[in-house]
Amino acid sequence: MSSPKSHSPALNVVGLRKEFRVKRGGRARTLVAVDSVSIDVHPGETVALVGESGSGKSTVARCIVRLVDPTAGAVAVHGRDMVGMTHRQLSQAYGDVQMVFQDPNSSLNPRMTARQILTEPLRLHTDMNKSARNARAAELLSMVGLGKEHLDRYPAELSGGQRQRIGIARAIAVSPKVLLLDEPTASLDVSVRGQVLEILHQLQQQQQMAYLFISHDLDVVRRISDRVMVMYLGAIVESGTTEEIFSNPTHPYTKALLSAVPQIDPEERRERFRLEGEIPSPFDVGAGCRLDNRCPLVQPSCRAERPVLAPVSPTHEVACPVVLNGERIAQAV
Amino acid sequence: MTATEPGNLLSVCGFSGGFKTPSGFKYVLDDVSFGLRESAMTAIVGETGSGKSLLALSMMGLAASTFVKTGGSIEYAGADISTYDDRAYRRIRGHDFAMAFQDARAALNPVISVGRQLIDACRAHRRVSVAQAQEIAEGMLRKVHVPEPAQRMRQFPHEFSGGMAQRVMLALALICQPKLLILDEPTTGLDVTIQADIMELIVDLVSSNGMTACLITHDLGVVAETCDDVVVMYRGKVRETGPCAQILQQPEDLYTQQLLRSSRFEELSA
Repeated sequence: MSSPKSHSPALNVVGLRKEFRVKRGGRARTLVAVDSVSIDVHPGETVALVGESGSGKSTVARCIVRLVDPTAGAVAVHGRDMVGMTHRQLSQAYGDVQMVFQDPNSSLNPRMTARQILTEPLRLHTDMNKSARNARAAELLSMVGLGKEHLDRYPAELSGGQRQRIGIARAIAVSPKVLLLDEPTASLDVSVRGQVLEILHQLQQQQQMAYLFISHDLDVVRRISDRVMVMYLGAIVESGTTEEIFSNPTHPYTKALLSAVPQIDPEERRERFRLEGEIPSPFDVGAGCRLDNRCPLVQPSCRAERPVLAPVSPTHEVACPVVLNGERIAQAV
Repeated sequence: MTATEPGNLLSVCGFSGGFKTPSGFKYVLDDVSFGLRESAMTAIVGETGSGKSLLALSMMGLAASTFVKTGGSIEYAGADISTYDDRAYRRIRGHDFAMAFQDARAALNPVISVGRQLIDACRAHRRVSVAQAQEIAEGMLRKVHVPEPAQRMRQFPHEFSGGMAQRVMLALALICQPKLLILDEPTTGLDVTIQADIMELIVDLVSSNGMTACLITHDLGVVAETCDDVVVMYRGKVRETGPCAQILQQPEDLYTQQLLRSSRFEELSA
């Protein structure tokens, strides 16, 4: 089952861009929610997309499954282009890519039982007969640690953690190659969060699914992902292996983000790296670096040109010429 | 830390209560005892349904009218305030005790300007003119680092970001210089960088004014970085209380140990 990373990625996103036309004060303006985002996720790999609210991370996921149509860029799932697909082709493609949503209360139909929720994708994507679908639904429940007694319950009769597990079971029902997880643990208590993460890990081990894990919870990201991509105002500002990002955060925004996470254990704490103010409106982004007004390291050159990702190491990229030049100077000395 | 120690600003002693349901009486708080040390920041931690928010509301006299107290007391300034009626509570609420709620934008009145809300709160408890109150309100906004307070006073809650609204809420809570500040999940739903800024501000305000604070939260990281004492709750019961450093590093209670293991992801196999 295991495939080396040099093989073709299960999910391949290149130069993804999403613009929204927004009317404000009677005047239509263009909001760039996602700007040239490229992501590869290989089978069996977990790539985390982290960022704060409004960074565009959920829009990336919604573009991948075409819940919104990207303005530009290419998305391929298992080698098949998603962007040009018709609706009919898309509904077939959903056998390969599935999504788990943040809020299980609003992403499960309240009028459907767990059985109905779990057999619906099987009816659409497989040629199983009814008894096979029912058997598979029971199997799926046990895979996410629930029992047969939950089959005929409605979402309202389940706890938040159980509902999220139904959401995961629904997503994996058709054995997708790619799973998009949009903050799957954000609404859960810590004890339940651990169970859900463990289930996701076990499923990935068994089925070699590629996970794109969208989260703002850096503690979770650190524990479960192989690689991390940090988003700020629609663009990736740093990407690298989890080890590289957490032990050598390089972009000022990544530093600020990591140093703001409260830690139980004193030895884990980082000195605060402060940015000025709060995230600006995406309308107010200038031509240069998106962080220019908040960054303590800002140079005049930052405002002239938008920085692009450049390598720190073969697996670590950062979109900040200031720190990159600094590193080069440090290495030369 | 026993509930009746003299250094406590407020003591909760054997407090119990619950709600009548069709299937019988359901206890939500069961023999809860702890004290809030004067000038210290105490955390009440627990997961969903542990009763921590109801406890905070009970201290403020804001528990739902369907909540039935079955025993115990909440001692403040030599009196059992849990027996107070609404009228009596109104003298301490806002003046002696103030509370900041979880979702600030939802907790502020959406149709009244932020300035008006601050001025009203100020004039409800202090004998000041509108002009004086306006000045105090502006000063308060400055203190919680809201930029351009004079303009912001004229704006409405929906014009504030989540972080800025929480700052307004803190200004509103602190405008009458309360002795006790109760914070119910003040940073839940905010981004981590904003959370860090707000928690720094809270710690700063509480310590510089010598206030007593009670932080309701589920985030042990926040507790570890900001609080002095901690009360761990589970299903309406207090499982463990004591100094933060001791409880988080050497918990005695099994539930506390479990909560810490979960928070540190120790049960994950990967």
